[in-house]
Amino acid sequence: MEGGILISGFWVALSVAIFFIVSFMLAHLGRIHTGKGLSEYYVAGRNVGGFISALTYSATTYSAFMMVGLVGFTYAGGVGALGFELIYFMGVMLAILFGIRFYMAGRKKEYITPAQLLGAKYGSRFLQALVALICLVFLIPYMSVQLIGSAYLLETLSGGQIPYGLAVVTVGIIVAFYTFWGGMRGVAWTDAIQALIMIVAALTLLVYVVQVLVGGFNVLVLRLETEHPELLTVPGPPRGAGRWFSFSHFLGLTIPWFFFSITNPQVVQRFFIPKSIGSLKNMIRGFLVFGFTYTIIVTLLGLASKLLIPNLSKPDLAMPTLLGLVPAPLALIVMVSILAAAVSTSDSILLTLSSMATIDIYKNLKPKASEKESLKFGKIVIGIIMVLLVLFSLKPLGLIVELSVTSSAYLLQFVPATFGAFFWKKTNAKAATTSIILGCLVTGVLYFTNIKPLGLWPAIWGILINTLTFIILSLVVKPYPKPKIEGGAGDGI
Amino acid sequence: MALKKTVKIVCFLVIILLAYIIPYTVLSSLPKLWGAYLFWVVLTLIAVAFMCSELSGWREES
Repeated sequence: MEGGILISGFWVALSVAIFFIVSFMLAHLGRIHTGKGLSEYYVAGRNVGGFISALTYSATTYSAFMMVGLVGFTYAGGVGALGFELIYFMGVMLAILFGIRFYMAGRKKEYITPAQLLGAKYGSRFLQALVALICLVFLIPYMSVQLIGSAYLLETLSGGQIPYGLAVVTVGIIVAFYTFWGGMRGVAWTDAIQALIMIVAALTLLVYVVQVLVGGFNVLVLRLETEHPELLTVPGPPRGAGRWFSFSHFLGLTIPWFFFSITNPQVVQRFFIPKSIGSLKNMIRGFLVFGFTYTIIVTLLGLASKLLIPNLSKPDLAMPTLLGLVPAPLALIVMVSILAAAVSTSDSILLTLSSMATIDIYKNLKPKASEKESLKFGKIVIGIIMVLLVLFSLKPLGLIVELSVTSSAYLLQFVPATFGAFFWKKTNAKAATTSIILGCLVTGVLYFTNIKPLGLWPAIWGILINTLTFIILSLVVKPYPKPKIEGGAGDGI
Repeated sequence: MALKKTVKIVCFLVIILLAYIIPYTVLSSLPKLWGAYLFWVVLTLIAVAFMCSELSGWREES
């Protein structure tokens, strides 16, 4: 059977309702413990413990892509999908290189957003607004894809009893409402419970699939090696004229994601929330355990799916179809876990984008705006983004999907400026601004014209030209004599 | 101290390079789960151990 299972719409709706009631209660608890001011609302007063920080970091990073996209990717392309995900995971080393610096800078200068930090380091309000604007343009579509995925899942699993449109509007409004209500503390606590649901459900599903459906781990290995050996090597099985993971494709996929932990604002903002260095360390340690375990589980599920349902027309159907083979209660729990993955990524991005629109754009243009006024603006932004999200998701345009898929390629363009801000005193705002704009333009033009010079992906060309421009302009242009904003380049953080 | 830092950076770069090179060369003709799959898993565990050792050096007064 293809296209998923039919669980009664009543049970799907009930599970979703319970999930959101619990999430809202946690968000409300977060609200009760949240004091006044921007720092309290957006970074939980920089007072979150290591355990909750680790879980919100994990839930924010891992979206519904894991249990739907990556399972499908492994199902069709084999172990290359694991390589892709683990190379991203090794990029967490950058979080260690920068994490302590983000944390210290955040505490010392009271930064709330990554764009604020970058703008201050270079002494450029324009750069600050530019970074925020790029994040808004690419991350709103990325969030809408999470919403689209959740709504399709609910519609498919209920056999159409929960219509797509109703699912989009309901999930969109509820997520936006509890994010608005709970602020960062609420989001962190809901993320924590959602992360636990994600890992427990995925592990339970894997045990059931391998032990009951496949017949044990040894059988899984033996059958894979004899029935689908092409899945166990790279570049993997044929795809069109090429292979699933040709080297240039693999490079194009992995490089933007390798830098994910320092380019995605919703992730960087999490370095501002731990209450101590000990909590920061535990946040990263916890994420390492969660990310590694989750990746192994998900890729094994993809490989096992190939043995159980080998002839699907689309790889993305692997998970919904696999759920058709397991008992309904387990399928419901996994469905809730996928929903949890989608909403825990979306709520974090939503709050981060609200903080960026408020601090990096609104307060940037209106520096004398009070905290109360700014916070009011930020909460209105959450509402506006929610409306955009629902509209984009109700009628997904090709452009929205394209922007979402390529978001990591554009956010990658922050890398040279981020390195320069902390490690190169000679650099300057013009170099940072020009290189980011040029990198995004090159990436965009190559994507939309579908040109891959020398077989390299647009993101690679974008970052190469960006880095070259950054280095040349840093050497040629004289730095600002004195940064206009506190905490300029080379302030020793 | 600077030498120690350089050695660490080189070690990390080697890990990353191996993650790209080995599966596409030595292991590309080994269709076993203990081929590329296990290689990436073990290499990641080495990277995790490396990261944890880095973290252990962080102190409150960093």
